[in-house]
Amino acid sequence: MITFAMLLLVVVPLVAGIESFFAKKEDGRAISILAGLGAGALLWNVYSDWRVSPISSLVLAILAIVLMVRLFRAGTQIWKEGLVVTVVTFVALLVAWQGLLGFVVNAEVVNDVEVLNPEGSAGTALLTYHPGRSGYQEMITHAFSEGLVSNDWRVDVATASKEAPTDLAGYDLLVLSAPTYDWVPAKPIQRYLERLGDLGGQPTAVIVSAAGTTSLSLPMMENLVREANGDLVASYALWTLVPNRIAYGIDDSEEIMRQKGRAVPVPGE
Amino acid sequence: MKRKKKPGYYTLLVLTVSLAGGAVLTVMPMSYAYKDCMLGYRAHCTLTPVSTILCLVAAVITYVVGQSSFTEAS
Repeated sequence: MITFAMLLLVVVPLVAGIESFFAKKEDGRAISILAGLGAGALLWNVYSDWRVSPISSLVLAILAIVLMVRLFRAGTQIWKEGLVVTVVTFVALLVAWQGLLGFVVNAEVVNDVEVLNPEGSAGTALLTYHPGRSGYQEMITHAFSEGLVSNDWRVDVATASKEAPTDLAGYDLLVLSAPTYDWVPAKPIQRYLERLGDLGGQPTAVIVSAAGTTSLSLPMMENLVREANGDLVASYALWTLVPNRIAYGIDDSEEIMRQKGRAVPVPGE
Repeated sequence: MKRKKKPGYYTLLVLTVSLAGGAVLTVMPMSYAYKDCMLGYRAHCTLTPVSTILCLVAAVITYVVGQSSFTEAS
């Protein structure tokens, strides 16, 4: 749904901008609103997307500048009104987006630590994840833990919050799992990694999911683990709007993660 | 009688068409969806049919606003 809304936020401003060019001079207010809305929304897209798609962002920035020129050439009053509409549109989208990121999708979820297969003798894993809003991350994370359990691992499952364990003594494996928001791994998992501090060579696996691209979030997650002195033993990216068969040969996300969980080497073998 | 279109009409029209298209997209099957939608099959949107209804309602609203406020008798 967010992807669809993002698409609308490109298409609609473009049409509004085009329409402003065809408006007559006596429709001054319409020109300022249409071009202002278009420029503001396009500039917000540039701000939001330049990290993963710099070329398309450059194109959108040029189109926003064209709309500003259109406003400027329409007269002083229209230019002033259009500038206000541009700024208000940009700020409104920015506030809404940052609010969505900060207070909705990146809000920490506190759950009790769930212990799976407490009698497991193969090794002990701590699996910390941010569930996100869709349930997808929770599903694939639990599928990974099922794979570990099938090899007789004991698995402690925690959500990335202040309540999650930070003492890694006694754990043979740390698994960090997070969805991608705003092109980067969810903030709760980043904050959790900061709380862990130096991983001291802890074997660590990372699981990152996204709607369409993990080109920024997966390398970032891997780097965060390496920078924290973790031993990155595995990293996986899964997508909800792109067929996972591209990378794994099958589409079933749960089965992919079960297989990956089963493939984790047992300590000492 | 043909009605004159005011600036902004086509923006709303594109929004209406996009929302209607989005409604259709939500019910389209997608084999690699990660879970069944509320109608019991793997659809493009896991929130189908709620998302379908939301898109349709929004499309109707933008259409009505476009017709009533962005056109005038010529």
